[in-house]
Order: sequence, then structure tokens, then C-alpha cells
Amino acid sequence: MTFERLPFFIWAQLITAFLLLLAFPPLEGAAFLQLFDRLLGTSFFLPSGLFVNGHIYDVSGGGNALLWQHLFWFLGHPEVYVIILPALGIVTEIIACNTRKNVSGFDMMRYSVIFLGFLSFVVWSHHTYLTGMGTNITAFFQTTTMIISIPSIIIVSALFITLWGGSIRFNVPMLFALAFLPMFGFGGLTGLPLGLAATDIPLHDTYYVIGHFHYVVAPGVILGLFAGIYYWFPKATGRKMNEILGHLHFWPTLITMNLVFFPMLIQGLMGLNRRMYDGGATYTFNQGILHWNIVISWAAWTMAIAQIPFIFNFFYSMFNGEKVNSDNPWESATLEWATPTPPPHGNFTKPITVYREPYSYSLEGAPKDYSPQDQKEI
Amino acid sequence: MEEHSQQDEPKRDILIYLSIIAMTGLIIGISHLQLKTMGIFLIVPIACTEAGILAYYFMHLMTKKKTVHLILLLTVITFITLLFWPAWDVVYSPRTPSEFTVF
Amino acid sequence: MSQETEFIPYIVESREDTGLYNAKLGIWLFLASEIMLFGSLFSAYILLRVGSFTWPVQSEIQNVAIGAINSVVLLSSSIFFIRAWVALKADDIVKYKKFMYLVILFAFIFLTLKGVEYYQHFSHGEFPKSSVFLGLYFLMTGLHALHIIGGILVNSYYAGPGLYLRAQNKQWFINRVEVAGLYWHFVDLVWIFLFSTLYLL
Repeated sequence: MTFERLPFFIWAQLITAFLLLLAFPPLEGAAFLQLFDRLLGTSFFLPSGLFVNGHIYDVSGGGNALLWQHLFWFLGHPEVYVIILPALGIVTEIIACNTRKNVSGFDMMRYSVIFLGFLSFVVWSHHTYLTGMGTNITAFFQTTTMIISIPSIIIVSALFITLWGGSIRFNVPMLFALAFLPMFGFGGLTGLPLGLAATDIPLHDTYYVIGHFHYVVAPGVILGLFAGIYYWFPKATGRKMNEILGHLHFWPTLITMNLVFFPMLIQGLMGLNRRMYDGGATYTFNQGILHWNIVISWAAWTMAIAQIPFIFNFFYSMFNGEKVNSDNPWESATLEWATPTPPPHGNFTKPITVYREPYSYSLEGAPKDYSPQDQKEI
Repeated sequence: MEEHSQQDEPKRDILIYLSIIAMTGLIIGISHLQLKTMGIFLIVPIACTEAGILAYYFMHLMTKKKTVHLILLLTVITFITLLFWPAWDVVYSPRTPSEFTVF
Repeated sequence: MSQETEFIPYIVESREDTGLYNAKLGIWLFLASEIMLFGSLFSAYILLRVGSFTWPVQSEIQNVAIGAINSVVLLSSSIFFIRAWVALKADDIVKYKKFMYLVILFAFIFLTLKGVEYYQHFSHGEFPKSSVFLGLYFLMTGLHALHIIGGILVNSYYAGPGLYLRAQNKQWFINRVEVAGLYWHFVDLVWIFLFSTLYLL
């Protein structure tokens, strides 16, 4: 096994691990500061001269609420990459397997994900544009934020290009993986006006922001996770999940997800603010867009109902699902299928040698359209 | 494991020990002079040198590989940039004194 | 226990490409996260101090003498740790134990002096909530002291009950002690920065 023979999912998990390792401690530091503020009456985040309930607030002062914001978002931004990278990995696995060809631009994807991991540490202040930062610092973070969109675009584009000329099998995991691509791409694109400081001024703290991050997380990450569950369920249990219930889960979920979050983008552009207790009803400029809330609510409840087939499917198929007839029901070339299905204690029953690249599908001269990584002959 | 290890040079241990203590004494002396900003620019590099000697001392136990050194250098550069660019921005952006507590 | 070293490579021998064995890579990754933790607190210090109108003259509030003695104490314990590791490699268990006991003793001396310092502050009415500087001082040195306590526990284990591991696999134990030493040196390193920042600047 070499680094080049690792599947993209493992690369994504590796970068995720580094992000977690290095990004969480500043939040830990901030938590300690916050703990001291709460328990010991320090004022790391409270400035001097605070007037609370008609009295001077009895703390030493000298703190700064912005310190909290910077420490928090130093984790906060790598955190969102932690959230998306595993899902990207899962989707890559499924797309490669179900298009029966190698992922296009796999090298570029690897370099992109490393670059992404590194860059994710230097963009955090795009969450604090509106806090009165100086223009130099804003320009710095704006630049890095624009640059960080490039690796993500490369990865999603590479996955799109992989579909070209592929022999696509539209099973349920593939449906979810395919839906991930445009949805995540769309969510990423809606992030661009937020990443530019000037356009962020009217959009920050509005429903547009909610629409943006939910588009990347809900249609993005969650579709990726569902895809992974459908894909690896046979591996874990030895039974496939029901296809019809899978479709019943997928289509309503996809449609209602869009119905829930797209109107939020509209509302945000029209100026509807976040975190208002009445949802913006007191402002006249919001009156024309509040009706979308009804659409969002209906769609949300429908989406909840659409999950019922999935939950039922998950538990039912564990006991009564169609049993797989081989260790490798999806005919995938990667190593997790080299173990028995379901795997015994210790996963692998014999030592493995890895002979080739992870997505060895449709190789020239091969007898089958996939060549498992641990099999010496093509 | 390593040929070039501590058991060959206990004298080097003592030398490094004494040099770090000497540098500590030096920065205590500098702090007594109460030099304000200049003091910071003197004390911090010396403290970094002390730390660097100590780290190299046990980094020498780590590896001599170039990749590792490069990664460390990259980390240090990133760290310094992230710490001091915002501070520079705070200090040198035009602000009236009343705005100074906001950054 | 020793069978693991047959199945899992690079527990006792180093990899050719990096020159590291697994535990050393592991501890360096952990130290990277610790650097981020203390780094965040140091950057909080920098930003709070730069953004403040007034800041107390630190060397007047602090007991620089005790701080300096603590520096020497911790540095000495680092040197003792190295001597202990060298003795362990040379198969001299008596010397190894002696030096490890010295490391632990000096760590306790450090904690005691720290306790004296805290007591002096408290008796002068200087509490964490008295000023931002004092809050940062107590937080950063307190967190550092917690790390020292953790180090004492690990070192005590390897100096005493943990020695049975040496009987199972000598080189593995040597690696374990080396890795614990890396952690201990890191704690010393943080103290150098803490002392310079919180006492002398």
C-alpha cells in the first residue's frame, strides 16, 4: 500500500483528522477563557464600562467580545470542512464504483484536498467581516476565501467529469451521490457573495446565510451520508436495503430539501434577518416574503415524513432484506470489499497486499470490469 | 537507534542547560530595564531562541529528515503570520483612540 | 503483548522515510494540538494587551524570583529526564529510576513554588477577576500546572508500576519513555514562553 493507492475517502478522512487535531484546541482555549469568565468572574470577553440592569457591571473589564469571535471561528471554519470532507469522500467512492471508471483527475483531487485543508485555517475571519475589522485584514481574508473555493470546485468538477463516458448504474446510493454534486455545487456558489466582504454587508446575518450553509450541509453532507449508508449497508449486514423504499426516500427528500432552503435564499436577499424572535414580522419590508415561511414549513414536514421509509427500510432490511450473493455486491474495486460480508472480528481474514490504484475499473485486458486492489492479476 | 545521541555527549547537555539558564538571566535583566516596546522586541526573540535550542535539542532526538524540517518551517511561518498580521493591522490602521479597544 | 510488535510495524523500529516510529509521530501530532491550545491563549494575551489602554507592569505584580527559580527547576528536570532515558538505553535501571525520581521530585518542587506564588497573589487580594492580566496569568499557568500534573502521573507510572512493560519488550519501553520525555520537554518549552510573557514583558 502506498499513499497513491489510498482511495479518496481515506485521503479525505486524513485531512479531516488533521483539521480536527489542529483546529479544536483554540476552541478549547476559548472554552477555558469562557469558563473563567463564568465561574471566576474574570472578564476576558467583557469590555470595561458595561452597564447592566442599571448598575456598573462588577467585572475588571478590559476584555473583548471579538476575541471570542476570532477564537471561535478559528475552529468554526475548519469545522465546516471537517463536516464536508468525509461526505465528499463517500460520494467519490460511490461515483467511481457506479460509473465503472477511474475518477478523472484523481491526482488533482488529492492535491486539492491537501491544499483545502491547509487553506481552511486562514479564512476564518470571513465570519467576522461585519465586526469593524480593518480593511487590510478584511482584504486578506477575502482573498484567501476566494482562493479556497478553487479546490472545492476542482473536486466537484472532477467528479462531474468522471460521469462522462461512464457506464452509470442508477442504484439508490448512486442517486444520492449524483444529487450531492449539483446541490453541493449550488451551495458553494451561494457562498461566494458571502465570501466577498462588500456583498456580505447586506447579506450577513440574513436568511441567505442560512440558505447557503444548509444547502451545503443538508443537500450536501446529508445526501452524502445517506448515500454512504445505502452503499455500505450490504457490507455491514450482508443484506441489501430495499430499492423501492430507497426511491421513496430519495425523491421526496431531494425535492423537499430544495423547497425548504431555496426560499430562504430569496428571503435573505430581500433582507429578512436571522435570529429575530418574531421571524421579521414587525418590519414592513419583510411582508412580501414572509409567505415563503408557509412553503418552507410544509416542505419541512413533508421531508420529515419522507424519512420514514428510510428508517423503516434500515431496520427492516437488517433482518429481512435481500441477502447479498457475494462478498462484493456492488462489484467495487476498493479494499473494504476484500473482507467477508459481513466482516468477522478483525475484518480481514488474511493479510492483504495492494497491487494497484483504488479505482481500477474497466482496465484494458481485464476479464471483468473491475479489478480488486488486492488481487494480483488484473 | 541513533548514533549521535546524548549518551555520547553529557557535556553537551550541561552546555545547553547553562546556555538556556544564561539566556533566562539575560531576559530577566532586560525586563528590569523596563524598556516597554523595545523590551518586547528584545525579550521575545531571546525567548524564542531558548525555546528553539531546547526544541532542537529534543528534535535532534526526532529526526534529521528534510520533509519534517520543511513542515515545521511552514508551520512556524503560518503561525507568525496569523499572530502578527492581525496585530499589525490593529496597531497601524488609522483609528482614533476611542476606537482602539475594537479590532 | 510483545506479539503486537510482530504484526504492527514500526512500534520499536523507525520507518526509513521519516525516521520516526509510530509513538513518536503520535506524540508529535499531540504536541501540535497542544501548541495550538497554548498558542490560542498566547494570541488571546497578545490581542487583549494590544487592544487595551492600560496594562499593569507585570514584573511589579509578579514574583520574578520564584518564576526564575521555577524555570531552572523545570529545565533541570528536563535534563534529568534525558539522563534517565540515556541510562535506560544503557540498561542501567538503578540510574534510570534515580533520575526519574529526580524528575518527579523537581516537578513537585515546581508545583509547590507555584502554589506559594498563587498564595502570595491571593493574600494580596490579587484574584483572577482582579484584572485581565491576572485572569490570563492564572489561566495560563493553571493550565500549564495541569499539564505538569499529567506529566507527573505518566513519569511516576514509568518509574514505578510501569516497569513490568520493560520485561516484556525492552526497546518498546525505551521508546515509551522517550515519548514521555518529548511531552515533558514540551511542558518545559511552554514554561519558557509563559515565564517570558507573563513575568518579563
